[in-house]
Formats: sequence, structure tokens, C-alpha cells
Amino acid sequence: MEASNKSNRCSYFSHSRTKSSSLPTNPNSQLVSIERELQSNTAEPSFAAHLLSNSSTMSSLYSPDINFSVHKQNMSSSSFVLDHQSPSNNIVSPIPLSYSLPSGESLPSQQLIEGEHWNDDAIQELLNFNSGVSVDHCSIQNGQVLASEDLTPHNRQKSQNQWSNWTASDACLTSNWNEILNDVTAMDSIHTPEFTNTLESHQLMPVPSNSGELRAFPSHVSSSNCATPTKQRMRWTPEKHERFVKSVNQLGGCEKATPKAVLKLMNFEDMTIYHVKSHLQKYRTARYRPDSSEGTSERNNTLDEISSLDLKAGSIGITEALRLQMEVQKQLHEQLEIQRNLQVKIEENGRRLQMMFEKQQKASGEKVHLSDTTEGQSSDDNDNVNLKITSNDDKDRQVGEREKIINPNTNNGGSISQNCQPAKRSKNSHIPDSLASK
Amino acid sequence: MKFGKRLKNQIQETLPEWHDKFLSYKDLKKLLRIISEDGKTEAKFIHLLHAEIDKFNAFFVEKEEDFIIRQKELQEKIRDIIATVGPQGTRASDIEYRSEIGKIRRDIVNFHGEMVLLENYSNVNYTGLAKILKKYDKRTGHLLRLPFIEKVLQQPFFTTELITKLVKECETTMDVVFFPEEEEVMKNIDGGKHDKKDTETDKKGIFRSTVVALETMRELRGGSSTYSHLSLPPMNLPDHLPLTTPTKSASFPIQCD
Repeated sequence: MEASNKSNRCSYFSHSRTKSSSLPTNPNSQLVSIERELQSNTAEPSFAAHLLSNSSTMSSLYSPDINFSVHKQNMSSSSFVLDHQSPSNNIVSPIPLSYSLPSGESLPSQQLIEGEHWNDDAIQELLNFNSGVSVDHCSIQNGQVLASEDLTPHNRQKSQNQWSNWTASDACLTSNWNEILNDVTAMDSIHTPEFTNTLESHQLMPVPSNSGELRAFPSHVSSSNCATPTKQRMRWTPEKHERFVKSVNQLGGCEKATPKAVLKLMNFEDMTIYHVKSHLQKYRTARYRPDSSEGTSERNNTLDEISSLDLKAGSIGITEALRLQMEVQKQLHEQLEIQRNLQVKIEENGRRLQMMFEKQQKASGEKVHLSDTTEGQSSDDNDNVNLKITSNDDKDRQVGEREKIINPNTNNGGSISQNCQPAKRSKNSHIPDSLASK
Repeated sequence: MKFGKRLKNQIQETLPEWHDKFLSYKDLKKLLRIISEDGKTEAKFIHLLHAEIDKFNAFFVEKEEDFIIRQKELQEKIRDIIATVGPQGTRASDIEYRSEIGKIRRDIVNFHGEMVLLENYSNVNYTGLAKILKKYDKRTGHLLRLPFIEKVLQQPFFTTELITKLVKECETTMDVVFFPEEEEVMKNIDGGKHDKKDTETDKKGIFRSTVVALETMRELRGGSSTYSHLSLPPMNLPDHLPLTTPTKSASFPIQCD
């Protein structure tokens, strides 16, 4: 991307990072066009996968199967795009990758993309800026999805309902996402104030989750390209269930209440009658056959009966057994939480380093002819070295490749990666001890 | 290979209806082996990955919904029990009370276990995905892992905050049902005679499943030949748990050169 554009935006973003509300007028025209883009839902750009070069699109990355089969034909090409959009989108990766498009593949959406491309670039740049500026915090992965990108009012409402219970597992991540979201939502506030409110009021997981999630769910509803399957994967929450129960009770109880009536009474956006229907069924089962819903079969009732007479003797044993079971379960739960947090942090680390690397790459790409990037890759003076302190084999490979691109004359090429690996790791100051390799 | 075996083992030990909901790790590996130049297999691989994730999401979200309902019902039931046959209840009956409480305890513990198993399910699948993606990158030289895993992190099946919350709530509810004072009383009454059938609280195999899950987790984190920056450190488990292998964390040399 052009450096000049960058510098323009740079000021905006660094500015907005501190003050999320104000909007300089300078990038306005582009922002307005971006907003327009954001408003429309037809061909929403997705920046999701431009790290991979692409030719085919994979719509709704995690959409239910029906979408999947619809877009299967797009999968015929061997390249892959983590684009959870409808098939009309195709993002050209700015990053040269070794993976190339087999010739002869025709892409249905190519034309559309060419037309959309400038928007993608613009927004992508915007994102790069977000990431570039906030490098020292957790920030959006390069090119990952923009907050309001495909959030139509419909989706946004959905996001409010669906994400309201989520708490970020990583506070740092959240706070920065919120900041970035604020930037974005500020942009959008001209058109949809409620969106700003809803997003800002939540501790949201990284924004891409919204889009990813939303693409999967409402994409059938809002996207004009997909066939609309009847089953949306909306997510229930205790609050929704509470409301459900109240509605059911109002209508006279499980037996009397009809899905249609409950749906109407609940008045939740994005909830369909199918959701209510299946939920009602589950609810009925849970109420009237509580044992079976929890799996303990009815045949054990007689045993329980017998034992209740001899309860004093029996329950000690039971209680002890239950305690032990609880102990193990609690441990498992705790360990899982720890593990999950670690996994998230590992990826976060990797992502951060990746961004730093790419940022550096862009910078040093402009000084191709300088001799900074010489064989002395392991010199501490060179910023590149820090970026090569990656925690990822991917990056090692990327480094090797990019060195090749930048310095065709050096004979290091791939061997740099190998040689430097131990060196890189020894200079590892970014990765916590527990994650460092041996 | 180790992971594949462990996964298989864990699946075998898990609740029956979950058997086919786990990651088809083996199938994905098979695809990787036959990956060719033309990219057809790659497309299949990626297609399968997506299908798997859909599968996880669907299963997870459905289970989550079930748990939400059950949680509420359990709480209602407890309130009910206390209000009716409890000591201050409308038709207080010691025998009935104890019987009901006993049942509810079992139910709660199993409920808790199932939720934790779902968390485990989520994690195991995530781990498997991370591993298979790493293998993919290695095999093909492409850079699929990083962006893909980013997406995975945001998927419903991995965002387990709600389940965690339910688990914590469950633990709190449990305090209501397991009375420390009562245990003392009970202990004094009888010296621990067991009614065999009654102590079989693990009818669904939840307990066994959790034990296996914990052990597997520990084994997987015990270090491997491909230990890297992406690997997790060894686990620290307390000693008193009924696990088969020693629970002391491996003294794994983690250098940070």
C-alpha cells in the first residue's frame, strides 16, 4: 500500500486511539464510501483471508452444510480463501505467497471483485493501520475483519443479543478491540447510532468473531447470495431462556404454549420459530422427564427407592463418591481453562509477531537496495531480527521467502531460516518462558 | 501419531452419543498423506476441515442450549425440594428429603461433569485442529495455519465462556445441596457401609470420561518430539486425584536460552 496514504491514515488512527469519538475530516470521503460499503450487504468485502492467496471463495466459513454445498463448486480450485462471505467475494492477497493459483481456473466472482477491489484495499489499509498503530497491544490481525464490515442493522442487533454474555478471556485483547471497535463504530455512527451503542457496550471478543459468527448465522438471512436455510444457529443464553420461560408461563405453561405465541411474546430479533420450537421441545422434555433428560434412566428409580430406606448407610458412600467425582471434574475444568487461555495467548503472540513482521517487511521493502538486510541477519541492530523471533514455523518460512524476494543476490535464501532458528530463539524476549522451546 | 491414538482412546471412553462428534483427525491425516500437486486433495482437506467445524459448532451450541435449560430446571427442583420436603417445607419429611437431596446431588454432579466434558470436547477438537493445521503447513508449504486458527478461536465451539459460567454457577448451587454439617452427622451414624448399586453414581460414564480426559490432557502436555513455541507447558495436577499415572508435573527442561 502506498506510503502516502498510510501517513494520512496514520494520524487519524493514532489520534483516534486516544479519542475514540472525534473524526478528522480528512479521510472522510473514503470513510463515507466505506460506510456505504458497510451498509450494503450484497458484496461485503472480507479481509479475512488475504493472507492466503486465493482464487476460489469459500463462503460462510462456518456456515451450516447447506451453504457449503451451494458453494462447493467454488471449491474446485485448489487455492483457498478464508472468506466467510457469499461467493461473490474474492480478495486478492497483497502478500506474495508460494501458493499459486492453478492456471485455467475460472472464477465466477472475479469480475465482481475487480470492481470491489478498491474498497477492499481501502478498508484493508484501514485495518493495517489499526494494526500498525496498535502493535504494542493486542490488535487486529492484519487484514482481519472490520468490526462493522458486514453488520447491517439486522446483524448488529443480533450481535447485541448474541454476544452480550461473552466476556473476553483476555482483558488486554478486549480493551484494544474495544478501542479499535470504537474507531470503527465512530465511523459508522453517522448512519447507525444504535450500532455504536451496542458494540461499545459490550466486551466483545475480537471483531472477526462477529463477522465470522454472523456470516455463519445471518448470512443466510441477510446475504442475497445464499439460499436461505431454515435453521439458523442462534445461540441461546440464560437470559433468553429466562424470557422464554416467562413467555411460556404467561401462555399457560409448556403444554399450552405454542411456538408461534411464544415467539411473538418473546419478541426477540433473530429468533425464528424453529428456534423456539426446538427449544420448547427440549424444555418440555426437561420438565416432564427430568431423569431422562439427564441420562439417568428410569429403571434406577426402584434402586433409589430401596436405597432411600437404607439411606444413612448408602449416602455416605455416595457422598464420598460424589465428592471424588466433583474433585476430578473441578480439576479438569480448571485445567481446561488454563489450557484454553494458554492456547489463545500462543496464537495471539504469533499473530502479534506476524503483524510486526509484516509491518517491518513493508518498511524494509521500500529499501530493497540498501545493504541493511544482509547476511548478518542475526545482528541485533537489525530490526528484522526481532521480528524473526517468531514463534512459528510459518514465519520462519516466510522470512526465508521474503529474504529471497528482497535479496535475490544473497545466497542465504532458505538457509537463513535454518541458521537463524536457534539464534532467533535465543534472542527470544517476547515469548514467556513457559512457552519457549528447549 | 500420539495425538491420534490418544484422541481415539478418549473418544472411546467418552459418552456414547459424542463418539462421532469429535474431530476426524485420522481422516484429515489420511488426506494429507495423499496430497498431490493438483490441489484436489487439498480442497477436500479444507472442505473437511470446514465440515468438521460446522459439526463442532452445531453440537456444541445444541449442548449448550440443553445445559441452559437443565441448569434452570435443577435450580427449580432444588428450590422445590427445600420448599416441600425440606426441614422447613410444607410437608417436611426427613426420609423423602434425604432421598430427594441424594438424587439431586447425583444429578448436579453429573450435570457438572457433562458440562466440563463439553469444555473438554471443545478443547480437544481445538488442539486437534491446531495440530492438523500445523501438519498441513508442513506438508504443503502453505500458510493456512495461522489465519485458519484465528478463525477457529472465534467459533462458537471454542468460545466457551457461557459454559464456564454455567459450571461455576453449578458449583455454587452444589454448596446448597452438599451440607458439610450433614456429612459429619452421616458419618457418625454408620461406618461407611456401601450399597453397591447406589454408589454407582457414574451410570453414564461421566466420571470415567473426565478421568480419562484429565489423564489424556496431562499426557499430551508432557512433552513431545515436536515441542515448540506453540506447545503448551506440562500440567500441574494435585496428587490426590484418582489418576493412574503419577500426577507430579514432569520436570521438563524448558530453556529460554
